[in-house]
Amino acid sequence: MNQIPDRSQFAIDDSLLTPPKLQPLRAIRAFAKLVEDKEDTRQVFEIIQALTGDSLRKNYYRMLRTAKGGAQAYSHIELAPYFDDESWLAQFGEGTVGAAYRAFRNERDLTVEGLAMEAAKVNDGVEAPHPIAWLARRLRDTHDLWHTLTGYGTDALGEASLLGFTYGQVPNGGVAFIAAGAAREFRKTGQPYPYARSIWEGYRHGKQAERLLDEDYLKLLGEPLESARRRLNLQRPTTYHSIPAEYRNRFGAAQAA
Amino acid sequence: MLTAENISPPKVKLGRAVRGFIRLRRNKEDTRQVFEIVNALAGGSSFRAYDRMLQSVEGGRQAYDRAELAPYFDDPDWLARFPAGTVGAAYREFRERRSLTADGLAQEAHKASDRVDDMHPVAWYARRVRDVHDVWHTLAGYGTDALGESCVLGFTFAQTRNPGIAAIAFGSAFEFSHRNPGPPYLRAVIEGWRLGRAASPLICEDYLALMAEPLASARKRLGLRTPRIYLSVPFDARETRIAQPRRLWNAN
Repeated sequence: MNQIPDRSQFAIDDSLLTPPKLQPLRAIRAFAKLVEDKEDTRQVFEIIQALTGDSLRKNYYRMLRTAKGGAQAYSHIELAPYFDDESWLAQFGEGTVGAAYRAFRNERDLTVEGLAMEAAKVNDGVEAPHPIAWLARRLRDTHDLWHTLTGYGTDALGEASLLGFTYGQVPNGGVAFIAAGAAREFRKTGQPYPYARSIWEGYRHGKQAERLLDEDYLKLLGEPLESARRRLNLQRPTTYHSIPAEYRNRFGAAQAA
Repeated sequence: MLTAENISPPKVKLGRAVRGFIRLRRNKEDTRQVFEIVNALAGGSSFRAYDRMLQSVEGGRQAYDRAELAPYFDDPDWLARFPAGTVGAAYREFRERRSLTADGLAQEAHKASDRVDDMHPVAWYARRVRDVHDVWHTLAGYGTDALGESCVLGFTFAQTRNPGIAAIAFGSAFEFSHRNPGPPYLRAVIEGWRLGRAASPLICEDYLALMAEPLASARKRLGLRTPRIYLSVPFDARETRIAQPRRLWNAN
């Protein structure tokens, strides 16, 4: 597999060179749409794009401050071609991270490419041949792997809690905005479950865990899931699991009625 | 919580820099000491310079492609392909006349620190500055005589903002003036610094493409002007007798 696909046709966007301005109104508008249809993933990218500011750059330099993260940044491997290659994914035996990731994707019919298409609708600068864009792609391409590692489902609460986790790992204003907004929407359902606490738990676990971004993901997929979780200090999200599955997907006042 | 090995911004090590200076004064060909001084005083300047690189389209592209230049520059077949008048041809002649190799410089750098070989973007940046040094000689029009080196370092300081490089450039200029009052050594190095400031950021260039460009048009495109003060210094005055050790104390 080619590790360095040709990216020369993609222009390097200004937002990669100088931190883009925050656009709170754009974020609020997009969030309203997201509440109406939580499957509208495009809005997630809208919000992140609107509120990301200088965070990608800061997170990139945080990565460079460890030898491990620096080595990953230097290798600047592109993960999407691996993750979307079924025969490559098929090589991982039972009990490994790779197998759990494969099962997670197959159950939900997810592809990295699908997520990439949604992201490209908002800003195709993310495909540019630039280290900061590479980091944005890395975060996007590993989102579903993070679901697998943390144990969060793709229900509304699982997504919101994973965003809490993501904020703990990779501080980003857009991610915090969605997670906080989701907590508010959950409260509107009037259900007696600790939704906000689950999202907060995600944040705490994200802060406690090793930096997943610095991992050699291709190697990680071959590791047994349980030992990987231990090594990376990933705690089981007990608050999330304490909420019955059928109540995790209620979101916003509309669905409460 | 970070348990992986942390890379803290390197500290400035004055003692190490002074030791390097003393050794370099004794023997100007001891290139290793140049790297010792640069490393000792660099601090976080390479991080910052890498960050500046990412703030330009071409710099970001080069950082993403992160080509390693030494293997190209040291490949005689690759170098041979550039026709007369190009940057590549001028660089080839420059190297052949002085039998320089990028690898030779890399070996000296390695003696001073093996971190330069790290698989790390900032180490890649440091390697790039090292590997293009002789290309900058060619582009800026400086020889490898003692003054030419100091002027290229003045130029390089303007481009990279590495204080270690400034220390060598200006320290050696003071040293030359001290030994041989008369020629405008300090002004020549300041001129190098000013020309470096006026030029576009050379580190962001695509060197593999640049080598094929005609030298004159490349100089124009990059805003490189002729170093008049340097060229006004007579040949034999550019090579000061710095190589001769001066006794710092009486050996009896």
